[in-house]
Amino acid sequence: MQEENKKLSFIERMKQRAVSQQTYGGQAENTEANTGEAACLNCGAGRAKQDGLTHCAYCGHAFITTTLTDGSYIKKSDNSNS
Amino acid sequence: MGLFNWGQSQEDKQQLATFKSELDALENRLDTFLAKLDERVDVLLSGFIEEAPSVMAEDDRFGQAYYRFSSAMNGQAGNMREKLREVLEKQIEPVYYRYSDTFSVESEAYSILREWRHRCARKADEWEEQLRHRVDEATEQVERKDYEPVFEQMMNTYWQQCQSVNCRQCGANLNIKQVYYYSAYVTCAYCQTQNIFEPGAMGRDIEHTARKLAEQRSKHFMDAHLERKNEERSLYEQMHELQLTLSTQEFMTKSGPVYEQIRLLESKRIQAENEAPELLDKYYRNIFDELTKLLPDLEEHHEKFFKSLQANYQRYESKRSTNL
Repeated sequence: MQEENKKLSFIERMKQRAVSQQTYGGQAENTEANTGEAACLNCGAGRAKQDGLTHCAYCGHAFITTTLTDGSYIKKSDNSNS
Repeated sequence: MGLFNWGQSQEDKQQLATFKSELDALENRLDTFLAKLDERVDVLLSGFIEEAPSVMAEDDRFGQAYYRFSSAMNGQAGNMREKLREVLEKQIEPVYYRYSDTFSVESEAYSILREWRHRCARKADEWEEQLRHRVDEATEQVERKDYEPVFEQMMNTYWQQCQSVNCRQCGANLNIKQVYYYSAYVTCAYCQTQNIFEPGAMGRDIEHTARKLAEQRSKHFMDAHLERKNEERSLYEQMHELQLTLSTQEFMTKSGPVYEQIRLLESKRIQAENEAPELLDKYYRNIFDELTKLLPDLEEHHEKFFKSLQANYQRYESKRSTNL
């Protein structure tokens, strides 16, 4: 009987550790579907699809000072790549 | 202990008896040790099977606690395997090397020693094989679940979550109509803002679960494939047994009743051998057909994946040459 208790506790200990141990890097987050945005630093508006990569469509604040050309993936007319 | 005339004198015979009893005692100790290890495995696996459902029930949706629990079980099993290896290396092998230098290779004592060493090693190997098999079986038993409701629930939750996803700029509903497996730009239809859509933990898991569901739906093909493969092997073994009973006459002329029987088995064997890879093909084809049904937008990707898998397993297909 005593031996059986001992055996049970060996599995019990294993279980307790498995349940209570913290994962390195913390608990995995269970996120829901949501949206994020890249907001303009000047006025806080969201990035617009047309020309949105270089400057803000609302206040004209320049994010990048460069002239875009047509590339394989990014076009100068629509530089959003999707 | 002379090298060439060993075993002739009375003294040598006595030494042989002591030597034998030493080997027997060691082998008995190994048997007892293996029986004790078996008991420990029984406790470990029955405890694992008993406790795993309660660990899973309290777990988060990623199964991190269960993962730690099953890792602990695997670690314990690994420890036992290491202990057994240690016993072989420290108790059995040194005895073999100690005596192997003193006996002539042709002597009776040497053959006893060699057989003893093989017997012990085989016992350990068989035990290890059995342990691996038992651990796999227990894990499979614990992890087995029906993916149909799981997948359905995931899809429902995803669509439900998508309904309340709005544009960050103007607040209009983004009207998500497809499954996104990773973050993607979704343009708002009203204000043209590029929203970064994040599908959430469940959305990212959909593809993975779909694969498991598709495998579950195609399992009968895999079972049939394995059955055919085993059948082919058993027919081959039967043929081999019959071939051993052939007389020289029958063997040379390749005729006679036994030879006819072998030919009959061979035709059945070839049929099984041809059918096994076809069934494997059907299994994988069915997986990807099911996947395309579940996630139609990934059809192109599924086809590519199927082709690469097929190329991989076909590379290792081989057939027996029986030379009848």
